[in-house]
Amino acid sequence: MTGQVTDALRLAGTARVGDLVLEVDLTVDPGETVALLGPNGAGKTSLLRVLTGLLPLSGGRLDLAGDLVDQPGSGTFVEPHRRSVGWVPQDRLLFPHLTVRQNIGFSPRATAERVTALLDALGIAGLADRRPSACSGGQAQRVALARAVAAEPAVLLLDEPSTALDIDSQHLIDGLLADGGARATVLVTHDPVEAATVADRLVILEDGRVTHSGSPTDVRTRPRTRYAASLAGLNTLPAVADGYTAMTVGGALVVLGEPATGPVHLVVPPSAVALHRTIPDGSPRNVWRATVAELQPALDRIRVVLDGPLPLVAEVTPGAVEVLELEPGSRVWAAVKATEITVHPA
Amino acid sequence: MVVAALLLPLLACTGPDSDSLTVFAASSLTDVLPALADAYKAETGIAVTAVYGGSNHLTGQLRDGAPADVFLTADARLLGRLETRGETVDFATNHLVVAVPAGNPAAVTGASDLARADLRVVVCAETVPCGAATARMGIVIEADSREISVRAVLSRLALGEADAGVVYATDVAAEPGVELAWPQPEACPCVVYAAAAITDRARSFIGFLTSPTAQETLALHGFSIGAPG
Amino acid sequence: MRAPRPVLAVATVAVVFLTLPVIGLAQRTPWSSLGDLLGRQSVLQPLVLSLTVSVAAALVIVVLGTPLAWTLARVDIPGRRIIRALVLLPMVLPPVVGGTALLFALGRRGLVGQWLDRWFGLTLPFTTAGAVVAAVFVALPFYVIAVEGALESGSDELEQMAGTLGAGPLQVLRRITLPRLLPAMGAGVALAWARALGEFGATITFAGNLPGRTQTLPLATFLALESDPEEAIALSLVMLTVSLAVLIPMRDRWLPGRRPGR
Repeated sequence: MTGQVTDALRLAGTARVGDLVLEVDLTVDPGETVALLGPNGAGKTSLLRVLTGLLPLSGGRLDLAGDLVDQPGSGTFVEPHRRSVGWVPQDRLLFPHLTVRQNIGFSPRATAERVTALLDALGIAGLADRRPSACSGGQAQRVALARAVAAEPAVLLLDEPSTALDIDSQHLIDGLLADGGARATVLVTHDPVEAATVADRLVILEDGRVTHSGSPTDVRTRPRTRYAASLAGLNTLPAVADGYTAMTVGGALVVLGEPATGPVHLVVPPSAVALHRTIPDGSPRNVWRATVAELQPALDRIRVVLDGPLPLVAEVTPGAVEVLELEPGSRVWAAVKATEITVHPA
Repeated sequence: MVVAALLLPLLACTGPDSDSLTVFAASSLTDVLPALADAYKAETGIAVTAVYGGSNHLTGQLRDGAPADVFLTADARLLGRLETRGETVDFATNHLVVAVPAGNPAAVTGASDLARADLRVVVCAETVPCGAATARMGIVIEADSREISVRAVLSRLALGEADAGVVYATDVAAEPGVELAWPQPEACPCVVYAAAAITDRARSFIGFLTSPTAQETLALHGFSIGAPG
Repeated sequence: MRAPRPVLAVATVAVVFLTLPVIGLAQRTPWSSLGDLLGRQSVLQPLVLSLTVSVAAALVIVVLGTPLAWTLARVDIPGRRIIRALVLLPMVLPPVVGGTALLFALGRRGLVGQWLDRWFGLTLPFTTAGAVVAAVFVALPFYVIAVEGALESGSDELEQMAGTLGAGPLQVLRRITLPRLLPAMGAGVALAWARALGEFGATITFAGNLPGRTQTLPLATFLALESDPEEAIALSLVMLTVSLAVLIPMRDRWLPGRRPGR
């Protein structure tokens, strides 16, 4: 769909940070919220720094709200203070020598009315004339957010906004974020639940590259990397494949639905692990003995943690637990269809 | 006790060394004293260590117990503050002259020039013998600086930082970068150098200063010898 | 925290060592005639001159030293290490050597001084300005070190943050860098001013000695020591009092790294 609507953010470029090479293709629409997830060291914070202009690209281009702001090839680089990007870093970086009100109103683009409105909206009006050192963690987070938003940026960047937050702060912040208008938001988080609830789209960054970009459901049902799988609560097993079979580190032989060679990660959804009291017959060719280690109730399912040559988590109905008389220590047979196993190269 | 142990090595061992004499001398003797010391050593085998300074400054140090054997002062009155051995001997005189940097760049021709505000004129501070004598000269001087020793005045002239200054005749003789502003005959107010013995060992040096060898050396350097006429 | 006895003992020795000269001074002071002595022109004149010269030097030092400290701490120029060492030079040079070097550079026949004289008729030796120059030369390093130290130890994240909010470089300097630097600047000024006040060797060698024009308190004290010891004591007391009056309040509040009120 080609529209007249300009992207809030369009990045197709590379940047270098020490040993890490960031190579990212990312487009965000106005009003869209993108959650950026990834393991430590993947380059999430560096990506945010590229967007603010604190880290220049080494190749490619970056456009913000339709304006070219970074293109090494043509020698174009717009300084951070000329971009319309709001940034709330993990350690907030509030100005200790200024009051809360002065902090929020710091940007030359912020107006006094807007500052007052934000103070009220975030419930921190009482702190207006105090220093940041007098604020609690949650209050400081709200101040930092208000400061970034007061300048009415086209793009808002949040780095781990929910770490150590109280419920009140969380609600108020969520309210403000939802009310963004044409503002695009990129939110770095470790929490897949937060990502799923707040974001329109998930982007997973691993080792400097985007490995996923899609809805939370996409990621959960079709994880393409081990990290994505672990986010979705799936079983991942390291193994060495040789054609249609693979040997896990625990010494179990697994029959695969698709051929592979070399070190791999086998992804098995908990719901695909069938439990039996006696050895089953029929199509599953992957059957192993296991011992129930723990039962974890989760919403309307029970997660059964299994020990054995193949450590897995199975997901069954409460009824099945009763019928199978499952309890910690019970011996069961676990079966997985080869076709339910996804193979990722390690 | 720790304090004592730390300080012990620093306490000056001021026991007399029979092979050398310490002489505190007025700074105007800077050029002649080495020659005198050489002659003395040749005669007696005793080496001389010289410390120069403004006579006032040296007096203060001696009062505070500085370990010197001989004091050669340009102002005998200062000796009244000190304890000396034996008699004090006047061994030379020096007179003041108006001097300029070599080449006389400011074209100083007479005493009246020293009163000009546009000239940089440097003299000794009045607390120093040279300065006290300068005051007795009876010339009006618009000084731009009153240095703490006559050597400092001399150096200002030699560097060309001052246009004129009042120094000793011996200084002009010794320093090629400085010359007489105009021909000036030897005349007082002058400075009489007195030699005083602080310790007993000094007496032979005091006696040496009035010997023909010493007096010749002094005359060579521009000092007037014997008592002032 | 309770200090072990040997540590306390040595610390006591250090304190005694520092205060003994002051006690000696107080003991020789002619308290009864002090009033008269302090009213003398020969005491007041050097006092006024010293205050003028040291304050003027402090101002020049802040103006010259702040950009220098900032550049050394934040800008990656080639040869930065050498420049840093040069800045420390006046601290290491004996003041008289410093004064002589100033003479060779800025004296009437000096490297640069001769042009100042020829083109503008400007000479520095024998003038109050010359005394200020000598004081600036010896005291500048103290200020630069204090401020550069504060800039180096603090990171520039807050300045980066301010940039992302839309503040340009000068704005960032004015609203973030300088306000946060004030304590270090204060401490640096105090140190530099104290050094300038006590300056002797460079002043007398470069600027000379003339009451009312270049005879600062240290020079006057040195000369008085031989001719009028009571006056010398009065002058010393004046210097001591002025220095303490300024430094004691500053030391507690503004030395970098120290929380105020301890």
